[in-house]
Amino acid sequence: MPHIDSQENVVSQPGIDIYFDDPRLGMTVAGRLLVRVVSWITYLVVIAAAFTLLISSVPQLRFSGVFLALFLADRLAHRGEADKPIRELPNQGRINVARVLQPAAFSVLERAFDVGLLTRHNFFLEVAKRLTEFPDIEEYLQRFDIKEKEFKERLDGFLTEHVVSGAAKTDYRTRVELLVLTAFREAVSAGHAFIGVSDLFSALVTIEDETTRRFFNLFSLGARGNVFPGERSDILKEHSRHEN
Amino acid sequence: MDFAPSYLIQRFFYRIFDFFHHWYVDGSQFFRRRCIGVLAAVDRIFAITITLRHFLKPLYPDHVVIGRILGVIFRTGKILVGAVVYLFVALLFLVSYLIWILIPVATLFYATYR
Repeated sequence: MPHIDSQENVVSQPGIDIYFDDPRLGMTVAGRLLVRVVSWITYLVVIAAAFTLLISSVPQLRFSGVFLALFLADRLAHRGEADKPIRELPNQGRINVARVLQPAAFSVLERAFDVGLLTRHNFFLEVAKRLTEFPDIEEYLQRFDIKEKEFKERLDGFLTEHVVSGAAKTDYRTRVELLVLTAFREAVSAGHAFIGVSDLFSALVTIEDETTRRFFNLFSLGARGNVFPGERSDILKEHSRHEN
Repeated sequence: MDFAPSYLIQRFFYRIFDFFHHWYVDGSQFFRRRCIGVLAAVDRIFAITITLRHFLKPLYPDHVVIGRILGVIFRTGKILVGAVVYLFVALLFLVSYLIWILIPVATLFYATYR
């Protein structure tokens, strides 16, 4: 796992080149849709095949079914996880943080990316809008006495007021990379296994973007700094204490 | 690589690799950690290393001949019982681990050749 000082920019570590590159963001909307549809169809076919083979009377086919069932059980056990945990990343060389980005977090980025390209909305605020759909973020807002409805209404207002004119697809990709790299730093400093939606939200609070900073300052979130990972750790500690 | 079909093919093979990585690399780490954990728990009961270090010392610092003799007898018994338990736990883990690593290979072998 790379050692990263939370005060430093993750991309400026000596001997380490951290970047974000997910081929799906280079595809067209139709291409990404194709990837999703084919993935789901493949899983459905594998589930049906495993079931059919398991009840087969031919021993060879039954063993094939067992293997497919093992494969599906493994996928189920690692559902919602990224390709690999942060601790398994190498200490030096080129590191693609797309490998440690959870599917839910990527889904948020993907939707914000597509909507942003169509509407020319501020990408970071579009991500914030998607993130408010997650219970973790809702809980976070409640903890700071921020009314969710007001937060969303103001966010919608900011989105329509701050339309980015003339932004190209590459500009949006640059913003995705900036956000994910910042979220990576947040995830490392919080000791998270993967970059999750909470890390994206933490990154948004600290991201170098004037409009986003102004929006979060409305709720004094920028001034409070990023306390989400620490808060979450406290919740987890409290939870484990009750379990014990 | 920004082409959907090539991405899907790459992910297909990655998922297969990922399954074996989870099974063998992560699985081996799990067995190693569990085995060390259980052996450490057993060691807290039998404390073989400490018992060996104090093998010739009398029990409850009773420095008479009978105390020394009894100390050696009790400690020998403790070491023997501990060694048997250690060996049993280690064997149990070894057998479980061998079964674990054989499962995917065996299913593929029977699916293909039997």
